[in-house]
Amino acid sequence: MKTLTYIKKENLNTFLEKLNKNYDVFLPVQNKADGTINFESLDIVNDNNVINLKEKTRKSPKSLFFPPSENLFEFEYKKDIKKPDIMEIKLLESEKMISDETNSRKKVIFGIKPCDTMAVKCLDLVFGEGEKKDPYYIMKRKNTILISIGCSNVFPDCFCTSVGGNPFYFDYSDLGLIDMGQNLVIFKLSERDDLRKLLDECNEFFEEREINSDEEIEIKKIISESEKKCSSNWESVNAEDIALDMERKFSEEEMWKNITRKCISCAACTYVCPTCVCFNIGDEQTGMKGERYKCWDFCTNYYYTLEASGHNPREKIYQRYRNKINCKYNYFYKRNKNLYCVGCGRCIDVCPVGMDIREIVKHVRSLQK
Amino acid sequence: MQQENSVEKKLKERIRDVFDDLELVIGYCQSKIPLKVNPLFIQRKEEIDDLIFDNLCINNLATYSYFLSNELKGKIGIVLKPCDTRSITQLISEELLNKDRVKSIVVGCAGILDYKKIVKEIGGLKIISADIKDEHIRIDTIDENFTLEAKNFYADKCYTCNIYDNPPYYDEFIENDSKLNIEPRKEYEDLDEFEKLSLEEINSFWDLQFSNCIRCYACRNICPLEVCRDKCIAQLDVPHWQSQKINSAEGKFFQLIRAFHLAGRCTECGECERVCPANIQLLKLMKKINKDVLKLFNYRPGFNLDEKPPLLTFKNVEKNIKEEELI
Repeated sequence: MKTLTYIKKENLNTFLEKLNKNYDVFLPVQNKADGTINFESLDIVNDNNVINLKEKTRKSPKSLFFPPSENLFEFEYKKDIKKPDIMEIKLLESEKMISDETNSRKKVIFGIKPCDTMAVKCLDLVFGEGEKKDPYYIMKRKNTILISIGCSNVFPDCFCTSVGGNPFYFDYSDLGLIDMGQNLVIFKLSERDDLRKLLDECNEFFEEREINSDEEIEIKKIISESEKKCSSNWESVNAEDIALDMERKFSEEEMWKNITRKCISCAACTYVCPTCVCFNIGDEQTGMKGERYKCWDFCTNYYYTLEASGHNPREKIYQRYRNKINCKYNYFYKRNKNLYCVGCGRCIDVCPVGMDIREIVKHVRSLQK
Repeated sequence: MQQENSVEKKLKERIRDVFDDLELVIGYCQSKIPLKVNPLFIQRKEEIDDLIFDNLCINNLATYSYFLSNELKGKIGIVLKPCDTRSITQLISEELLNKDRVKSIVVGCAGILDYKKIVKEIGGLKIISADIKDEHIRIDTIDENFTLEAKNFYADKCYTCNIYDNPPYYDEFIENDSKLNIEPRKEYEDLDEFEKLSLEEINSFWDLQFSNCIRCYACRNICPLEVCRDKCIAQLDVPHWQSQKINSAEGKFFQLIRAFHLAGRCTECGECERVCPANIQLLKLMKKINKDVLKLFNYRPGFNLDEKPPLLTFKNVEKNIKEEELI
């Protein structure tokens, strides 16, 4: 007989509070004033905002691993009046900045959606695996436990089923939960040691009993209904085919121009996107002291590809948007066999002019060539 | 699919009549997202059938006029609401746009609904489906259904609008049988409370607002008058005026650059506030500056083709500025 491990929803708040003692807990918090939901620390939950696990967050959780801007190290210039032609540069320890207090504290992201966990996998492939690794990212990532709740609610702009996920895809979650009304039932449990430790610490909140056949049927029903709803939002996409199509139709300038006319080339879509990983590195100096920082950048930006000579290979909006789409459906797929669109639909939600990434892909695919 | 309303029919007919002279017409079409519409770029005559015009057409399509008129050789037709014509007028008066390159097809307006206001009212819940009937908006979210009275959810600019059926500028005008029917408010009435605040309170208000800025530049790029998009001093590398960092100080710096660039030029279409993913109250800042410009120079942007914006020119003696008192 199979067993059912669950946590009662009425105990959820005390559970989270207990977690918050040993971990920094981040979860979707809704601002009551304007209704927006974003991943915030449990510490800020007060009268002005409320935990909301049902809806989608406006911004993606990527900023918890890959902050909008982050100092990499600081430096100092030293000059001796007697030797004016020599300038010494002293680096302040970067090791310390990697493992500083905020980075090295254990984190839990509670209520992250399955699509966002797929996106974390995408970030891992860029920053955490492969030849070049980003220690700042790795430090934050390895200290973070992802607890996700499957999506019983599917929204009109969701399309994870089309890009290889589904509303209950827990492969990249450390703990996967299903909302069954009164209880949150554990559906997937990873082998991570620190997760075991977490569960042991909070043992008293978890109850276990035998599963009855009704419940088994209900779980299946919840999963299949969400999947059905989500797949009705967009047809299923064959990644291989799309990548090929994108490449074949890359030089159809007229088509690209026509389908991207309304784009105003702002960064709203890329900054809310959970998989957009582009960044820039710069130095800022005040007096004899300075810092090197990493901050988000966006490929739909004119300055992104502007060269020192003044030439810009992606001068026009359609060229930049084409790069964005190709990045998600072609370039990264070729490199990692992984689509860089997880179907969260945030870009569709925030776009000021109603660009719909699904429509764009559909257009590209429908062009006969 | 909604039924075609009478103004849509007239609009389509008029566009069909003038279409042969135009290279492209920009209008509105349905969106898959409830309570939103999309800009539509019409290049073939049969695409005119997709046009719509209703109280969801909030986008100011004048935004596309500057860049498209530079890109295309032919004449461009743009479907505009009377308030949107202010942006076109302003662009022409600043010699950024050639009057002969753009055909303003202006449609009488019965007010437009503000998506952000609606979403705020229903507590930020995601809208699954919605429809509008007899001045009522019916909305379904996952767990709850709402019925809202439309009269409370028009864009702020609609409540002070007095040009909805007599646009100050147009090439073609299509009258709308349904008229704006909401209780009017006094212009800049919403600033009254704000102006009573002390300097410290104002400062902390803006600090909080701008700390949310993620520097996505959506406000700048949607603005019909900020034609500097690709040459913005906030993004220049040489000279490097502003850091690319994303934090509250840089957010404030960028937003103040924007505010100064638009001082006395902003036509208060509200697009910046509409598109801001961080819900910053950008229009409040613009309105405050515009109010001061009106008081000092008696100038309202976007109403006169021949008048120069006061901050783009100078007079030896300004009537309302007592220089001797400033010293």
